[in-house]
Amino acid sequence: MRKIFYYQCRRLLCNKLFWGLLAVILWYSREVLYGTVIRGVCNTAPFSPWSFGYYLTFLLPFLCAAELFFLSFYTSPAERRVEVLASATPVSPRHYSFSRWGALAVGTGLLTLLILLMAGAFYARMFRWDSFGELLAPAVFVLVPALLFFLGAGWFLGNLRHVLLYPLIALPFLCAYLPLPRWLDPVGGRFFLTYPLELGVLDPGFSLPPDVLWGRVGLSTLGLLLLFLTRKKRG
Amino acid sequence: MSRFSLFRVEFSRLLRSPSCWLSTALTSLGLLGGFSYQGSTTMASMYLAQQLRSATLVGTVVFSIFTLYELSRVERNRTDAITDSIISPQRLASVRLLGILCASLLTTFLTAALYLPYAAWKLGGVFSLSDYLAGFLLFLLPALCFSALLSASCYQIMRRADVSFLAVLLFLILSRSNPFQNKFLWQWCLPMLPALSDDFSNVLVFRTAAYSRLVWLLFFLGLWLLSLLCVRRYGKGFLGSFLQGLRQGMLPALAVLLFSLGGILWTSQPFFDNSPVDWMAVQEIDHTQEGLSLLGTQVEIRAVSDWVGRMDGFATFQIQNTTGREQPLYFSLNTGYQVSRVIANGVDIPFEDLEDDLIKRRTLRCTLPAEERVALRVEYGGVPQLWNISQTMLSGDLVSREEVQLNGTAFSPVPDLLIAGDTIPFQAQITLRDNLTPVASGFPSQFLRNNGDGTATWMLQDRGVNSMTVFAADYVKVDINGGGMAIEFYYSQKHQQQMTALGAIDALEAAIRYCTEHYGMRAFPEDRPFKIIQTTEFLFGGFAKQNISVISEASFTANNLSNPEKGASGAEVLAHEIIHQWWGLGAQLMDPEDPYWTDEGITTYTTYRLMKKERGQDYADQHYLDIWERDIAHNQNNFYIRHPEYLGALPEEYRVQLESETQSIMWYSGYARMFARAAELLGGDEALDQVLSHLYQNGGTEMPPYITQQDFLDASGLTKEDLGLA
Repeated sequence: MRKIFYYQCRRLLCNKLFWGLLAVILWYSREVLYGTVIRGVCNTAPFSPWSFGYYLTFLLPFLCAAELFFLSFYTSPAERRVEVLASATPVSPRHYSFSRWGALAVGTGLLTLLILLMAGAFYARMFRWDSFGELLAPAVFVLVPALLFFLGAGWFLGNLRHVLLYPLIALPFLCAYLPLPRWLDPVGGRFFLTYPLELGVLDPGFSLPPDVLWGRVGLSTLGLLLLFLTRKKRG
Repeated sequence: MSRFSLFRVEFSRLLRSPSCWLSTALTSLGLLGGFSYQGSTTMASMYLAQQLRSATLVGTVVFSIFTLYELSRVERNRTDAITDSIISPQRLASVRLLGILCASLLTTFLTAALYLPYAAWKLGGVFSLSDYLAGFLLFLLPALCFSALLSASCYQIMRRADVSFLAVLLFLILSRSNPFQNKFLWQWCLPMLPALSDDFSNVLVFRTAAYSRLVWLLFFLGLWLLSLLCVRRYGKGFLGSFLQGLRQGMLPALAVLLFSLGGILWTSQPFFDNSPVDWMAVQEIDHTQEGLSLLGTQVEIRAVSDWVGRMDGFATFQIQNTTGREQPLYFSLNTGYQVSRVIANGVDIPFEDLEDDLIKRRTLRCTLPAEERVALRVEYGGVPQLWNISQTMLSGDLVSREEVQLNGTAFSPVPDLLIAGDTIPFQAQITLRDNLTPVASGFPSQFLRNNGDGTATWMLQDRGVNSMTVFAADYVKVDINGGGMAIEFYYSQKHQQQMTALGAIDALEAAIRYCTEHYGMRAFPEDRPFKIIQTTEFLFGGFAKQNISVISEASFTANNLSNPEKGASGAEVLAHEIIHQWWGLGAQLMDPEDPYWTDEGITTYTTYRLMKKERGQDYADQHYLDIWERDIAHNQNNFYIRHPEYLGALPEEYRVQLESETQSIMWYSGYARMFARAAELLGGDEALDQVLSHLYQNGGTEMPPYITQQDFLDASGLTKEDLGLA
């Protein structure tokens, strides 16, 4: 089991695509931090939860794209053909499946961690600021629902037809240009640019209006539901 | 099969493929995206520029997918082993790409042909077929070709269609994201297209686009040639095929040559200067000195546009040197010009270019002989450059077939000398295309002769100055009623019908009448009348200088003049620039102790008062008072303004940007609100009008003729504490 897990990790991580994405994400996060976040959003500090959340919304489309690319390894027609062989081996299908999901989580988690580390290093170096606990809430709010949703949607669509994954990869990038209501926006860039001003106070603490909160809960649930449905269908 | 036969087969196949026609249809439909944006002012921006932008972006993405789809077809169907055994994979790759490039040409012509009748109908009298075609050929066609070239290159290197598409998409996002979006050469997909003018020249948009297209064509061709070496052959992988390809020495050498040429063009772009990022921190040195003075200037220039927009000429300065010694002389010139000779009293003298670019001008230095009277002739020429900060606006001096705009150092060198009195002559002979009429600061232009070669020469004159501003276009002149003043209004012939129908002249007269009634007459001599000049959309607003007020064509469009809700961002720019003739040129506000005490505050306040009179209290409050409050609050709430201890962490570029924003808000909104508060404290608008009228008529006393903040406080009886200035 461990061997299969290592193999799956190697397959995802020792890959030109992973290193290419890593390079792009590192470069882009630096540009966003030094080009946009440094000025702060809605008159808050660059190290406020709002500015940090805004930073994450820039990087989120890349994380989702990485996650979906990793997923495309498992939904490709070639992989389907291999699956027939894999199912004939004495490895438990459940363990095999866990090892693949584990590798995907490691790949996406590594990229996420790097993004967070970049921000942490930026705040510490530029502003001598290290109260990172304050940034946990925006990180969870931005990353978890969107990654869950795209994982579920990707798994569902990829199993329907592999090629459907590609329009889904474009979706988080397009969200910035679509006139979506804030509760429906899986990326949420506009929310961070407008909501702190609506609160009418300077340097407001991080909070979520009910519609956005329920929107994020709905997004996570939908992602989990799609994962569950697909698993059941494949089973 | 010969390459041509292969191409014929491939192109016929593409023409029969649904993917090709789907790509064409989607690109054409991309035009529709341009109708969703409402912010444009001119008709050409609204019905051509926006559609071009939208179709170009959509077409780039669509053609990337189309190219990758077509190129990966053989691998997808696993027929590469068969095709490779029949024909060289490199040859096949080049033929396929050529087919896609021809499809992009076809798409461009079909899209242009489809949209032409609608654009011609909507633009009516201002439709220009040459601008229309240039737009499609410089924006849409290269975008489709570049997208195909880049996608093909990525695919040939990576052999993965999905990853190649991601790479193209990333490169597109990169060029349009923060660090590069303001740099015109980085825009490989969509060159800078801030607007399109209805009445004046769009040549700068097309020149910069053509240059950027040429640079990227060289880069993409170089990349494609390199990627051609990576086309998989003999069952080898990336490295093996590449090493095999390297044996063909010509291809890599050609690729390096193309990259080098592109690099040279990139670094030596001729459009923008090299002003420092922190231009606000540059201390300009005053080189004037006692004993050296300017007695007169004669200029002779030829601004007959070739395709790059070059002008040539010379300026002769009559200089008095009473020091009895050789003296250094500094003069400024537009950064795009080169000085070929400097001659003092008939003798060539050496000169030095200090290369200190600052806001599209730089300084040159020479040494004047010890003689008392020196006739200094400077021969110069070149293409006027723009300030590098204006890359997104393409705003500035220009020489073209339809328009000439030369301001200060772009017209002639400006010597750093004391001016010996108000009567010293400034004479200029300018040769222009014979369809252009020049309007300059100073006296009215005099027609001298038609040269018989499609050009005409005009005499421009002024006195007591060392520089001149000239606009030339197909101008029509009307005299307007200015309460006893001689006022000339110059506007483009193309706008003739609209100008009266939309009430633009009434709006101008209202502003003049208001200022005359409230502050007094603005004294213009008969021979040096007040000139209001309509100029290009690329001016983005307007300015006032000497006896001219220059206003962008955007202020005269149906969209602006018939939409009062646009407020201070719309037609009221007209009023603002007229009012500057009173505040800014008639009387000047300046205070060495307060850099924000300028003419802009009082001019903005006067525009507010005019609108209050014309459109009522509610309108004025909504479009002026509320906006001032909002801008000031936004600035004061800025994190770095509240916590200046963190300012050091900001990169220089953003620090300058923040300072510039603060300065702009204080100039316009900050002091306009202060005048509004002063009116409240004095008991009404009329009481403040009396104070302002007194200051306008008599000038300041602390630092005459300038009106300082203390002069205003003395005249009004208010204190800094009352006005919140302490």
